[in-house]
Amino acid sequence: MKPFLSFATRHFIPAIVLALLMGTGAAQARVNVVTLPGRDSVLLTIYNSVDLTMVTETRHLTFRQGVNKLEFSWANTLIDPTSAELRARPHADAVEVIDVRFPPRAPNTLEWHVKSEFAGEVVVEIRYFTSGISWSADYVAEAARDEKSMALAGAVRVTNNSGEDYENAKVRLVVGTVRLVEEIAQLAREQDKWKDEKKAMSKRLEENVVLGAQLYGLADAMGRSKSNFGLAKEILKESVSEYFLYTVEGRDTIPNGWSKRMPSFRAADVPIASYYKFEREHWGDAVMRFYRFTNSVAAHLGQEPLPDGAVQAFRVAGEDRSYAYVGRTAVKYIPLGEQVDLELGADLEVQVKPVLMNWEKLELRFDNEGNVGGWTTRETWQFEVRNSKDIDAVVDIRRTLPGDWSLSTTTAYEKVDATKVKFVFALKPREQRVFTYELTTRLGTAANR
Amino acid sequence: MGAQARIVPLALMVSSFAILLPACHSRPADAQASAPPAQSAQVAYDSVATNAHRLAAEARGVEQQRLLTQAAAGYESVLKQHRSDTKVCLLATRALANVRALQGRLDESVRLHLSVTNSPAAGDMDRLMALKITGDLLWDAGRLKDAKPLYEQLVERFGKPGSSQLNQLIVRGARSRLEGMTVRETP
Repeated sequence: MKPFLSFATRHFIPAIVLALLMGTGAAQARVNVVTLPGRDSVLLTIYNSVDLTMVTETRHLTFRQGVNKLEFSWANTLIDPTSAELRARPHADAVEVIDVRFPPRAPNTLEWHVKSEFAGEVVVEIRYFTSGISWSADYVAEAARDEKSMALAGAVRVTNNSGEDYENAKVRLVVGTVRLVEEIAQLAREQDKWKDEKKAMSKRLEENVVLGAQLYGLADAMGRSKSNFGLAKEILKESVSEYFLYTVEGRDTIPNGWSKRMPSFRAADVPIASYYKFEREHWGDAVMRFYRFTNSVAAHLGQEPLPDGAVQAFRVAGEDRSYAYVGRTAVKYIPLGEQVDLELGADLEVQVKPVLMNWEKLELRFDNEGNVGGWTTRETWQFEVRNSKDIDAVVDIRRTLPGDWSLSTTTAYEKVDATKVKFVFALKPREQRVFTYELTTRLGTAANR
Repeated sequence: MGAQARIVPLALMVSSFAILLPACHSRPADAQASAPPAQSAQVAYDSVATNAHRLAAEARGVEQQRLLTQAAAGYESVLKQHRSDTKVCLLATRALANVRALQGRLDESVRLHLSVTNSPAAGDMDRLMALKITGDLLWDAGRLKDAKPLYEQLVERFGKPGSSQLNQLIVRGARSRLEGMTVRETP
C-alpha cells in the first residue's frame, strides 16, 4: 500500500487514500485502514456557461467494522472543497460519516471519519464541484453526392484545465440556458457569499436538470426515481428555462491540460435541401451554398436538442466515395423540431451574373420654382444563372428594391416583403438560364408610397 | 512539548498573533500597482506545499524536521510577499499553522488558525474550518477545556439546517465532542 504522498505526486488528486496513522492519539488506534482502489466511474456534468463542473465518482472500498478514515485532497486543483460530499451506496444505513478533520500533515486535504457497522465492500459516491473544465460541440456533415441527404456526426471536445486527471469519465453537458446556472454565475461574482450559497443553489440546479432529463426521457439515465420529480416540476415553473442534459456516449480519460474529442452521435440519411442564395447586399457577387435540415425524428435526428458548435461539411464527390470539402460554419443551439440552414460559404460552381442593360429617367416633375421635385427611373436587368455542377441546384436570387417600385417580368417571382423580391430557379446539371426584369421606381413627388 | 502544557486564553492567543505576523488584508491602491500577480502567489504557495510540506509527511526524524522548517520558512515568505492576495494568504496562514502543529508548537499553531477567524478576507467556511482544526488540535493534545469553547462557538455559529454536507459533518463532529465532554464532566 502506497502512502498518500506517492499518490499525490502521481497526480491522483482528489484521492481517497489510506490514512497515515502518524502523530495520532490513543483514540486512533481503533481506526481501521481502508484499502485504496481507483475510481470505478467518473461522471462529469459540465455547466459551461458558469465554468462549473459537478464531478460524481464512485469507488468500491473495503470497510472494516468501526471507524474508517478516508482522505480527500484538492491540492493543485480547482476543486471547491466546500462542495465535497461522501455517500455510501447501497449500505447507507450501516455506514455513517461521523466527522471531518483537516490533518495538519497534508495541506488542502480533508479526512472523512466513516463509521461502518459491518465489514465488507461498500460503494462510495463522492461528489464535488470543480472549475476549469469546458466543452465545445462540433459536427461533421457528409452530404450524399446528390446533396439530398447527409450523415451528421456530432462530437464534443472536453478541455480539462482543472488540475485533476479524470480517467474513464462519462461526460454530460447542460445544453441551453438554465436560469439557475446564471444565478450561480451571479453568486460566483459575489465571492464572499459564494462558498456558502453555491451548494444550496447547485442542489436546486440538479433538481432542474433531473426534470429536464425526465422531460426528454432520460430519467433512467439519470438514475433517479420518478418520485423525486415532484419538487423539480415546481422549480421548473419558476425558472422557465429551456435546457437539456446532453449525455456523451462512451467514456474517455481526460488528463489535466488535455482536450479530448468524443463522439456523441451519428445519424445517417438525414434529408437535406441543398440550395444556393444570391443576395448582393449580404454577400456581394458570391453565390452562397446552404444545407437545410430539421432536427426531427422524421429526419432521423430529433433525439435531443443540438448544442451550438462548428460544422464542417463534405460531399461525396466520386464513385470511390472520395470527399470534396464543401465548407464550414457555426450553428446556434438547435431545439427539437427546429429547421436549420447551414451557410457553408461561396460556391464557384453556381454563378449569378446581374447586368444592368438599360437605365432611363422619365416623368420629371417640377415644383413651382422650376426645380426637379420628382421623377421615375426604369432599369432593365438581365440575369444569367449558371449551374456548372453535375447535380441539380436550386438558386434563390434576392433583390432589394427600396421606395415606390413596380416590377415587370415574365419570370415568376415572390415578394418577400415591401422592399425585397426573390426569384427561385431549379437548375439541372450544367444548365444555364437567363431572365430579365424591368424595374420602375418612382422617386420624390412621383412616389405614391 | 512544554508549550503544549500551557493553557493560553483564546483572546490572548488571537491578539498576540498580530505581533507575530501581519494579517491578510488588501493593500492600498498604490501598493497594489507593484504587487506580484495573484498567479505567482498561488505558484509560490503550491511550491512550498508540494516541495516541503507534503514531503515532510513521508520523511522521518531529522529529515522531517528539516522539511518542516523549510515549509514554515516558505509559508512565512509567501505571507510576507503576497499578503494582499487574500486567498493565498489564508491558505498560507492555515498551512503554516499546520506546520507549527507538526513541529509541536501548538500554541503558535492555534494562534495562526484562529487569526483566520478574525480576517475580513475569510469566508464562513474558512472560519468554520479554523474553529474545527483548532478544537481538534487542542482535543488531541488533551486540552479539552481549551477545545470546548471553540467547539461551542462552532456549533452555535454554524449549526444551522440547510447547510452543505461538509458543514453539517464538521458541526456534527464538534457536537459529538461536546457531548463526550458533558458525559465526562457528569459525576
